[in-house]
Amino acid sequence: MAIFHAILKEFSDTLVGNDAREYFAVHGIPTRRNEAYHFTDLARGLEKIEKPNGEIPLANIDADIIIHSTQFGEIISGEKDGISIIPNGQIEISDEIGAKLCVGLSKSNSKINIAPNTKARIAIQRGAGSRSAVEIDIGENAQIEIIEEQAADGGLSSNLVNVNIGAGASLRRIMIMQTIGAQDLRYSTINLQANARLDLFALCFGGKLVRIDTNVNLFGEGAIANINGAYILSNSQNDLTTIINHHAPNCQSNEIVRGICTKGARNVFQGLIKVEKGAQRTIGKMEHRGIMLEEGAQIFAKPCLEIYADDVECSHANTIGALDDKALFYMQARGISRAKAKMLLVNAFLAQVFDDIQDEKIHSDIMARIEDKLGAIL
Amino acid sequence: MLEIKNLKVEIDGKLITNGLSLTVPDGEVHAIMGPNGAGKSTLSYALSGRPNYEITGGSALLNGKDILALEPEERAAEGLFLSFQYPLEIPGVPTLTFIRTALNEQRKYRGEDEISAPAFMKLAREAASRLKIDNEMLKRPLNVGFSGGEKKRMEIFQMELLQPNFMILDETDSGLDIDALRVVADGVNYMRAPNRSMLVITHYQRLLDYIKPDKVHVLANGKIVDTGGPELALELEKSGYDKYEVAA
Repeated sequence: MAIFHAILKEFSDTLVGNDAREYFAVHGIPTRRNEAYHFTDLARGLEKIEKPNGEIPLANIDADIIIHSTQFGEIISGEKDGISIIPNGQIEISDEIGAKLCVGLSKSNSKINIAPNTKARIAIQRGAGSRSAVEIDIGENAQIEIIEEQAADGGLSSNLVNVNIGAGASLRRIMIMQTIGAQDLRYSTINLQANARLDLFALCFGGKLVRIDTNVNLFGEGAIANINGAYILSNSQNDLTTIINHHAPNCQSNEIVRGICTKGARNVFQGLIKVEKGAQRTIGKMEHRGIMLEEGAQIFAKPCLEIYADDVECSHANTIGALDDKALFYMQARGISRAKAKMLLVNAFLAQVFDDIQDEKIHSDIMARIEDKLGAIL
Repeated sequence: MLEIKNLKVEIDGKLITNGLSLTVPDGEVHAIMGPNGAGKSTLSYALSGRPNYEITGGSALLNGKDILALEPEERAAEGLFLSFQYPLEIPGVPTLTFIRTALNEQRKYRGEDEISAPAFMKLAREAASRLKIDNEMLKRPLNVGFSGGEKKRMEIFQMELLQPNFMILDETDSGLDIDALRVVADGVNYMRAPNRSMLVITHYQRLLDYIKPDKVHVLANGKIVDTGGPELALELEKSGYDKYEVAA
């Protein structure tokens, strides 16, 4: 607790987040009493904060702009017509505790403005102990890809991302969360204007305390949000919360989350699709499927629909189970070892989450990471 | 060659196979017939190594090797193939990827080199055309959304590519129409060879019109109670299994 407050004080010179820091100075670390979230005890999770053990090497990515965030600060490199980066630019912060926490913890903040019709790829690479906040404003009809990688071994990292996707613009956001042994808190708010499109893909390995909060607002008619997530947890914990809010009519959202847990691992999936009164002809779909590979694995899932419009097509599916023993035996009877059979089944189960990534290089990179991870834990 | 001696199998503490002895020499096809609950499927699962099928006595040698001590995948690599009564669906794993993985795992066990992709594709195309399996089916995840008949054909397709030396066909005829039965039977007959033998488990004589057995055994109450030539199957078709059940 004391360490947490010391960390908050460390950055009291940066303007952004001061309100949040003040809030926590008065109220302390959020508890189950003052936050809506009930699955992970933050006070306990943040009791001890250790120094980062070191950096995990980050992947080499071709990108127009590269933001490299470390425990010591942020380096932004690259230039692209139509993209301007404002260090310490003012950031709007939602009143949610998770957002406050991330911004309160941030060591640096930046604002990225993207002009209409720009086509670009931005890479955000974060090391252990990096704590930052970024706001990205994507102009109309721009086509943007953000590839984020968190590579932290230990330490406390945090990240606040606000994105506005302008009318007709698209964002493909790929998140690779290597947060082994880390305490990692992140909060994103993504707003979509008319006919905007979001395709989000996340691969999560969990950590000591990992929370990934994603809030999507479909503000403009005809907007589409696709959210695809996979988790592979072994001796780690991972909390995924997504709130998809349909404010405008004729929007679509589609969420698929799949994952596996071994003994001692714990995942929480909380998904909410909220359809406001005026958001008629909404299509909202949510699916979560978890596999517990061993006894002692834990998966909690809470899929919710909250619908105030009367002409909508919404669904949620949720399954948690074990690998099919009969299928494993069938595969063995064909000559495939039990370990390899598990690997094939789990790999196929998770791979479907990333089917829609068309970029061959990124797709095969993600598949290779999944295979490596499975090879290490199965 | 398969030699089973005095085999006893329990499931959840219940004795199902009760001292079964059976020898199938190389090159021969033996049929096992019997009433429901006689232990026909138990025999095929126990030989393949399904978990929870506890061997409490006896032995089973495949080409002189004790297979009961091996893992299911090792038994497969030793040449045993079970065509499942109810083939499982393997979501997300394309049919050809599955079979090629299985073949290469078996080859690895036997100390052989992996088969190259082009060589495998050539074999797969030939077998598929013989079994009237179209290319689209081979790209789909194994058995997912396949009809009963398609699944059975897929079993025979896998059998042809894996080239086992001992095959167990567990009620391969169930759920097949006459045309599919003929295609499957042709596939099985294509596999007959002097160094290969098989056990055909069935309720009905019909399948044996297409796959001619050298011997027919009657299985009742967990053991072989009668053995004869193909004529025994015809006789059973007329008289049923009553006399064996009473005798037991």
